[in-house]
Amino acid sequence: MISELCSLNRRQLVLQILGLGLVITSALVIWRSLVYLTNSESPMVVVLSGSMEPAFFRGDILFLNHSKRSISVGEVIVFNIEGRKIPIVHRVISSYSGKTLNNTNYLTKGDNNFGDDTVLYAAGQPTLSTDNIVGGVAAFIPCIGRITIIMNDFPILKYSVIGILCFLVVLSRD
Amino acid sequence: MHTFWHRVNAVVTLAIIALMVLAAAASVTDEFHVCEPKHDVSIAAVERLVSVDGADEAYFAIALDLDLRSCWTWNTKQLFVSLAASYVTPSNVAHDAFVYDRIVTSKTDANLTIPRARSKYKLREPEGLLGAEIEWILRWHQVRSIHWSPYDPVRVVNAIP
Repeated sequence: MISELCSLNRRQLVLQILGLGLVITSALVIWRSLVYLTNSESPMVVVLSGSMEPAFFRGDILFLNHSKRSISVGEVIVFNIEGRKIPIVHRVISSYSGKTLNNTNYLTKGDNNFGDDTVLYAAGQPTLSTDNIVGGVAAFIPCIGRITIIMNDFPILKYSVIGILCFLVVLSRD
Repeated sequence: MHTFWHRVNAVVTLAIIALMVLAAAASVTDEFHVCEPKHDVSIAAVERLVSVDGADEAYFAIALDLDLRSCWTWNTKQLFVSLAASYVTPSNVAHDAFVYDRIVTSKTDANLTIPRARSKYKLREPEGLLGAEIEWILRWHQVRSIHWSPYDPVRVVNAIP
C-alpha cells in the first residue's frame, strides 16, 4: 500500500486529492439542496428509541418534509427541544390554535409510551410551538440507520471506517 | 480493469437501484385503493366531569363500531385509529384533542366493536367545558411498509354527524 502511494507521481496525487474533495463537496451540495427542497433543518433522521413501535423501530431512517403549512392532529412529526441534542419522532395528539397559524401549539406522544410528552419538553414549556417542529415524515428506509447507531456507540469504529474510506479514495485509480 | 470487487460493486448497486424503483412503483398502487370505511360512534356517557385547578376535566365512555377493513392495503403496516374532540373555546381558541386511540396491526383487527371504551385521555379545558359544542372526529393514519410520499395524510371523518 505504502509503496503504491510512493509510486504515484505528483500529478496523479493532486488528481486523487481533488477527486476526494469533489466527493466531499458533492455530498455537502446534496445535503444543502435537500435542506432547501424540504424546508427542514435536518431532512434525514435516524430513529433512536422504540417509542413509536410498531410504526418505527430503532435504526429506521426517516426523510422529512417541512414545506406544508399546517400540521394536523394524528400526524407523526419530528421536533427539537431546547437543551436536547437529539430530535424526537412522535405523534401529535392535541392542538390548540389561536387566530394566527404561528399561535398553534401541539402536544405529542409516542405510540408506544404510556404518557404524553409534557415531561420531555423544556422546563416551563407545556406544549410544542411551531418553531420546535423539524418536519413530517415523507419517506422511510428500515434498519439501515443501525449502522449510524453502532458507529455512535463505538467512535473508534467510526474514525477507522472514515480513515479506510479516505485511504481507498486516494489510492484508487480509474 | 474489471476486478472481482468491481463486478460485485456494480451488481449490488444495480440490484439496490432496481429494488428501490420497483418498491416505489408498487407503492403507487396504494394511491388508487378505494377505502370505504363504516363507522358508528356514539358517546355512551360522560363518566366524570370535575374541576381540577380551575380547569374542567372530562372522561367519556365511547361506543365504537368501526369497520376499516377496506382501508387495509397490502402496503399497510398499521392503522392508527383515533377519536378526537374538537371545539372552540369562548376566547376563540380551537382545541382538537385525542380522547381515544388504538393501533390496528392486522386486517381482521380493523373490524372493531367496543360497546364501552373508556376514554384513554382526559379532556382538559381551562376555559370550562359546560356548554361547549363538541364535534367528534374520527381519524385513521395508515403507516406504510413502503413509505414514499412528500405528505403523509391522516384521513378524517366526522364521527357523529
